[in-house]
Amino acid sequence: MYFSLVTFRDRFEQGGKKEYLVSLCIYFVVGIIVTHLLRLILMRANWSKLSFNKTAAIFIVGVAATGTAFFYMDNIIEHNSGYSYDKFVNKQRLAKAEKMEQQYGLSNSLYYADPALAKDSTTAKAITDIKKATTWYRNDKGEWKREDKTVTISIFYNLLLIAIWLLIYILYHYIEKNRNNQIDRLKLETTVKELELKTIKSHINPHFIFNSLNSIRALVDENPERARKAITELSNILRSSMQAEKSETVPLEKELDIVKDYLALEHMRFEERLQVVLDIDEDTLQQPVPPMMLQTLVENAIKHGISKQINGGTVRVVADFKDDHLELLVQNTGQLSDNINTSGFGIKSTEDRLNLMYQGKAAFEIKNIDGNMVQSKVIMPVTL
Amino acid sequence: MQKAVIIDDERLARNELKKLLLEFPEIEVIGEAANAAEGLEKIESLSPDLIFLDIQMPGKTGFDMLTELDSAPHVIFTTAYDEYALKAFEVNALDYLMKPVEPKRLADALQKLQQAEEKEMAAAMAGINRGMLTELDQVFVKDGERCWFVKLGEVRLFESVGNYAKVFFSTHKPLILKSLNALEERLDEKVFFRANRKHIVNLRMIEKIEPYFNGGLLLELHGGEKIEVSRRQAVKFKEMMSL
Repeated sequence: MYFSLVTFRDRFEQGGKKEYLVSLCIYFVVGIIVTHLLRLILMRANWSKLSFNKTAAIFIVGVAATGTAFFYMDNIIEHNSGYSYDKFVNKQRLAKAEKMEQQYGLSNSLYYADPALAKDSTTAKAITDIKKATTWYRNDKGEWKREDKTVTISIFYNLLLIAIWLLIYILYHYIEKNRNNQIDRLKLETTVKELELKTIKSHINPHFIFNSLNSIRALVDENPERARKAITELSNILRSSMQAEKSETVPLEKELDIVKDYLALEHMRFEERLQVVLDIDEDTLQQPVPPMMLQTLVENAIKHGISKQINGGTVRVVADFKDDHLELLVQNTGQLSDNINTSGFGIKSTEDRLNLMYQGKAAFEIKNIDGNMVQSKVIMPVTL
Repeated sequence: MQKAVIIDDERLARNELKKLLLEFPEIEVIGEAANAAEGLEKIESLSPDLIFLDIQMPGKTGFDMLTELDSAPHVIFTTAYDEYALKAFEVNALDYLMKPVEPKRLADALQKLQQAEEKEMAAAMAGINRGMLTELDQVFVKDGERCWFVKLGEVRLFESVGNYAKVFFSTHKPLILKSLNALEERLDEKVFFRANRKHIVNLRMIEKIEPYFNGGLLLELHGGEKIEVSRRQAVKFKEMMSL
């Protein structure tokens, strides 16, 4: 269909309107089919996830293959349709060539059979003129032939078209992907922020704060000294929960101070129902740990363990080195209930925090251990 | 003078409340309990007019404890911070105090209680039937997340479902863990009538009475429920109604 594009100016001068329109339709339909095929293949190949080099290679191969297929499919269909505009134009040109031959006075001469005659300057000029104007010439047997340069030009045009189309397609998707990526990143950032906020908030349970305040009020008369101490302990906890978001890690020693204050306050509430055992290796005290993480675990040990036991129980906190790792244990009297497992916010947020901070180098687990105890365990890398 | 029992698992919390109640000479704290089981015991042995009840306690929660009572005394819930528990209440059905308790809020709650009490006293003067549950007695009903205090007079129908009884009142019909026979023993037979093996109806809630097969009766209640009265019970029913 090369002609339909390059012969716009003189297209209807010699008629052939019907052929022209049919061929143009076929051209567009084939173009749409071929480009859609290419698109399908590209989508199957998941090109948007490939590297730049691979995308470039696919681009070149895709353009070449589709352009060629485009040209031949279009040609075959047009020629078989009986409405080929190319054929129509060629026929007209043949007629014109024959007319020109007459005009040059060559129609009765067998110039093509005689090399000497063909070399004659006027004859040679006539042959070149006819060929130039119509693409037709006679071979040495006198048959009309076409010197068809249009095949290559035509393929070239098709390739160009496909290349432009593919470039637009790839660029569009590239931009789209980039924009989507940006949106996704923003969404992720918000989620992380939200999670952080929730974690901070969940660090100190309001139930605990108000119960502590209530106990302190009762102690004001009963044991003013203990009441004053309790206020200091509660202040420490509130202060460090507010500061927790400011630093990535704190030395274990600092975190343990909070845990001790927390346990002292809970002991004030639960009295003889809460026994506390601390089992801390001195060397671990300087290890950096995520702030308020151990505290959250201890708080859960009280909330889900001790406070559910009529006769109370023990909370044991252990910090030690084990196989090149820092190991933190919180054990409490009680049994893990099945439905609370792993879906609970405390467990989930602890896992998320460890994953974010140590990228899989830290681990958390919670399970029942012997003697009606629940143990939560955090393993994290040692910092020298 | 009202007798009160405090149920809270924390000794200091109980002490604090006792101290606050010293300001109210009309309330006398006659006992305390540290968990639901002790609470049930104290309520049964001391039969207080009023209990102060913590919701979160070891073993059973305050709600669970209430559902085990045949008849709940007046209850003022005390809780530190428990959005879920507070959501569970049918609003204004009962009173709750947030710990640490503000003395002014306590005074309001007690005053509200006294008004309710006076109204009941006046109404109860008519028929006193000790040991029996009257229309003014309330039961605590919990159905999943929701809780109600229901005056027996508001109950249209008890329906037997295995070991449970379904309680029909307003638009709700939650289950309580009580057999129909146990209920029948405690309910005032002048108001609550055993229509058949499966149903006890509130006679004040009957809308229509129609004859039924075999000399039985069909009762239609205010809520639209249709209850069949067996032949044997129909005789009794007619006797009672003819009086």
